[in-house]
Amino acid sequence: MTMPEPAEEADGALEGGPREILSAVNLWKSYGEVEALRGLTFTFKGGVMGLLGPNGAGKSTFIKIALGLLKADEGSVKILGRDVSDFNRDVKGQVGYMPEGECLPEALTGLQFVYHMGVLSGLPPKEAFQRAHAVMEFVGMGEQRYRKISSYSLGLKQRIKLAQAIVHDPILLFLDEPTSGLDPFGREEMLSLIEELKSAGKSIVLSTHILRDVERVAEEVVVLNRGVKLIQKNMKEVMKSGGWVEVTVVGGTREFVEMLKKMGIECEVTGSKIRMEPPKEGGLFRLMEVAEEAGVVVRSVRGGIKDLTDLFSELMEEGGGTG
Amino acid sequence: MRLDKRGYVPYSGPRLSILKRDLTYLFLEVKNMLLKKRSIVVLVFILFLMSFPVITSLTIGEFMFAGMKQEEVNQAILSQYVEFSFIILFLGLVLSAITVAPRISEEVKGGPLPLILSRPITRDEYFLLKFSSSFLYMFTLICVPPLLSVLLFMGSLPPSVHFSALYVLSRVLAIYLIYAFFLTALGLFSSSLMGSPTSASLFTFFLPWITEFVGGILRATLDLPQKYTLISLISGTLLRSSSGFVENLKGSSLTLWHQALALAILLPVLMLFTAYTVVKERQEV
Repeated sequence: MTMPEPAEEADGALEGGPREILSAVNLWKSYGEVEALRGLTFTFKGGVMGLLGPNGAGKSTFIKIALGLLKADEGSVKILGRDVSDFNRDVKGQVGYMPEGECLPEALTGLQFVYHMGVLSGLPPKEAFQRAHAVMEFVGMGEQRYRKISSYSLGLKQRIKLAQAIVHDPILLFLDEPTSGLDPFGREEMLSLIEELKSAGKSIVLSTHILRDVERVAEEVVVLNRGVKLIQKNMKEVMKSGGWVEVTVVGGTREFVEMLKKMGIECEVTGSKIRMEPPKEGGLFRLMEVAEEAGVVVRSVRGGIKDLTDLFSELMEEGGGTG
Repeated sequence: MRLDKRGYVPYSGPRLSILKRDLTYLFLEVKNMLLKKRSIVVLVFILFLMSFPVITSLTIGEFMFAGMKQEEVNQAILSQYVEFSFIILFLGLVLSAITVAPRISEEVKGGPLPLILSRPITRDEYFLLKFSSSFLYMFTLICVPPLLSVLLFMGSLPPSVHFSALYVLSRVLAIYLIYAFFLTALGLFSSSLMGSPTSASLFTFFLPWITEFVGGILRATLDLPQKYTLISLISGTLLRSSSGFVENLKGSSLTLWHQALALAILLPVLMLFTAYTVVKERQEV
């Protein structure tokens, strides 16, 4: 038996296999009395998926179950159509993992470590050595690769983690908080690398609590909170979900809100501030007309595009906060 | 900062079979252990302290006692042997505590174990690789000095002793093989149970002494005779080369080789089985 060969295409990579790269069905996991996952169910068909949620939402637990590092109490995770609870060499050979915390052997040099991981993934020594150099170049590590990991900065450690995750050219990558703790420059570099991997056809599960990272690189987002999936949406849908307007008015607020409700516009009133979606027909101009009809004076108007932050805030409020 | 702008290059080369992969990784592990500075320091330490005459006396003692009845053993040589054996045990424990004991524990908390287990490797394979590499390493360090010493000092054997070189070498090799096996099992046992490399090292070094101490107390408390019992076997075999071990021979009809066999089978196997179970069932990685 030989180690698995990398497939040409990410989607449906194993011949005759299902289209889902990754799926979770009714996944439950608890640590003592703390329930980390509560019936998590979703499917991922490829591309880049943001796994979003506050700390303790169950993101890392899910990834560890998917990698076979933890056992689920109930439910199943399938990668490339195969249940991960049954050890499968083919599937394992197609997965790369970049963990969040400390995980590097400090006594080795970066190059040695990536080379070791290449060998462990089934690459012959010579190829593993060449491949280690290739991925180190890809992640932007020059002479630092010959230094011991103990001397690395956080940014270099993140790069090494990514390099070892891709040394065997996997189809699916689990990146757990890849930009966590990085300075703006390092974060930008890491996101660029993820975008390049995405262009190379890799399917990526990006677990993070940084909304901007998901907005930047993901095509799809799954929001978790307290072990439950709150929503799974395509990023285009999220970004198209409209903008918002906040007007500050003087006098006749109740009449103004009543008129807006008759037009089908939901409002959120905080004192003299009214936050709403702008009217679909006429936009701000129509809003001013309604204000005049209601006899209110508009003192200020501000607005913006509804983004993932808004969606996340709404979901967290509906879901009871981060607890 | 990016040095290379080529972008991601996919890999389309060959893949190793599982056996070849495991053997290649085993070689890397042993090489890394041997090249670590602490290993070199320990090796030099051992080579100096276990100077050739000491080792020679010891190895001669090993094969002289093998199969001999207690009354046949020259008490002067026995006394010297016990002293030297104690040094060997002490050094062996230091070696195991420094090099083998951290092997699993340093990979668990904050170590690369999650990365390793996310690869196409089972926990069984992982444990087997850890054991094999540790054993090869221990065997190399423990067996090379005595073998060298026997080869170099064969000519200095007393005229009354007539053994073939092959017999002596095979006997010495077998004894140190068992000893390396025991030290590897002890190191991995501690390594799997302890949360940090330091505590694993301390546990490895002190466990045999604690066992001997508890065994002594139990023997005294239960008023057990100083002969072959389970307690004396355990304490004696843990301190294989110590005075406790030789003392256990008194009044026993069992020969050293029977006890060595018990050592080779009973304790290390139990310790390895425990270590394997812990690695297999551990979830928090």
